[in-house]
Amino acid sequence: MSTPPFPSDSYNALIDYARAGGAWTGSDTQLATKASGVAHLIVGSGEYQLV
Amino acid sequence: MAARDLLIEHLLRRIGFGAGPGEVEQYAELGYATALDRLINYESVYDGVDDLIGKPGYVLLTVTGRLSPESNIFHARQRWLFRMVHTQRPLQEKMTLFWHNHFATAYSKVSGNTSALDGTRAMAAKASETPSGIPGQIELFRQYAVGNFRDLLLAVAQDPAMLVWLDGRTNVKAKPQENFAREVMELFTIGVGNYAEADVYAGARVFTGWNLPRVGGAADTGYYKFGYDSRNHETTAKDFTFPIYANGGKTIPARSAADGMQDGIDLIDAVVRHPATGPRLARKLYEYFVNEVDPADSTLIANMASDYYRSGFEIKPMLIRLFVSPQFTDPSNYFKRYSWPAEFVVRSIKEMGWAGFSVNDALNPLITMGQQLFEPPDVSGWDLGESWFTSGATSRLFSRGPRSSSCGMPREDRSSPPRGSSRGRWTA
Repeated sequence: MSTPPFPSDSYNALIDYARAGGAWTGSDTQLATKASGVAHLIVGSGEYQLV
Repeated sequence: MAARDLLIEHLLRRIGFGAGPGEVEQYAELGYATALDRLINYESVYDGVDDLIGKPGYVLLTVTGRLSPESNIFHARQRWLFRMVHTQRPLQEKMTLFWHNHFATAYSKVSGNTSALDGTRAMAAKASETPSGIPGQIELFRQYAVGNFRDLLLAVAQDPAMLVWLDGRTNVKAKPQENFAREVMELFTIGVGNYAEADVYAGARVFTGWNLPRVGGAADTGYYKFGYDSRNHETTAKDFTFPIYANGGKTIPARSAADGMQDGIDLIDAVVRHPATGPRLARKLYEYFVNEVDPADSTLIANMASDYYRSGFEIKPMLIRLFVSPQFTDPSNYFKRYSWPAEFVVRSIKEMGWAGFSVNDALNPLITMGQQLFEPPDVSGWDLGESWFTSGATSRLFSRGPRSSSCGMPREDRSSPPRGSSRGRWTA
């Protein structure tokens, strides 16, 4: 899934979301908790409307 | 990601509706030229997507009782979305959507002037699903998706849904009806500025008698079918401001009522051949497939138009020219189109997964986003481009419908998306 580049503030907001609740370690638990939310945010972004 | 894969992703976003699992790799393995050949010359690809409906591993449909896309417009909408998600002929569906906008026809008027059953048949049924053997309009677009524009326009002029939508069925010599004649020039072919009001009136008289009688009276076995009614045809000569014939003649001669159907065929041939039609179609295709933000390259448009005329009005040569052009493959043209809501929904499903998700759950979000299938807002189709880009439109798909954990935000996270994104969409 590719999108056009995100503006830095949007990109940083995504990072902040992933890190919310604790430092990002990439554990299975974090992936299960966060991955679908991140995907939701990307699909709901303005950038994803561009094809 | 390799540049090759980015180009394939771009190709699949534009020629289709994005990529499902493994599709980028599958097409990248073929190489761009072979992938493009397979996608454009799809006639050799098996068209069995409808047979997959209801099978495990595919996006769901939600119906009560039997799936009846030939008589229930909600089922028809779901079937079309299913096709968009799973077809192996994505260009065929993409062009079907293109023609649905170009020849914008709304179910509400067609059914309102006939019945829900007749309206759905006229819009969406396969030929094999109707007592008449006449395909619904969307099947017509699928049949001619990359085919001959002259043949498509003639079929549209005789299409039951169009004859209701633009009132051709009431076009008689005692009261010529101008709607179809106007749109065949303004919207379907030569465009504003290339005809005069007098041409609209002459065109209306040309098509007098192109009506829609009902065959059989019963609600379920009776049907509407195009018929030329010579008694209702206006037989005098019709003068136009643009050439009708290759010799430059601008007058359709007086004909007997029995021969009068030829008037309409002559006018269709004229507008298809008109020097404005090829460039106009080329520009619309460019905006649909390449870039709707920046002006199109005039040489490319001229070359596409030349392909159109030289091939006898075929669409496929124009598309081949477009897809092999440097403008199409130029990375600066990636992401230079605004998704139509149907494209957005289908791409989201393909890219995010469909396990447990029903396309029925996308129907209301599509209304919210402004593109209900089979229901364009008016004869000119949907407002395209940036007008799709309305606040909050896209996120509604996933806030309303998905049951799939791979699609939707987990319940525990719904209160905590980041705030302050560039367009405020993440705060929804």
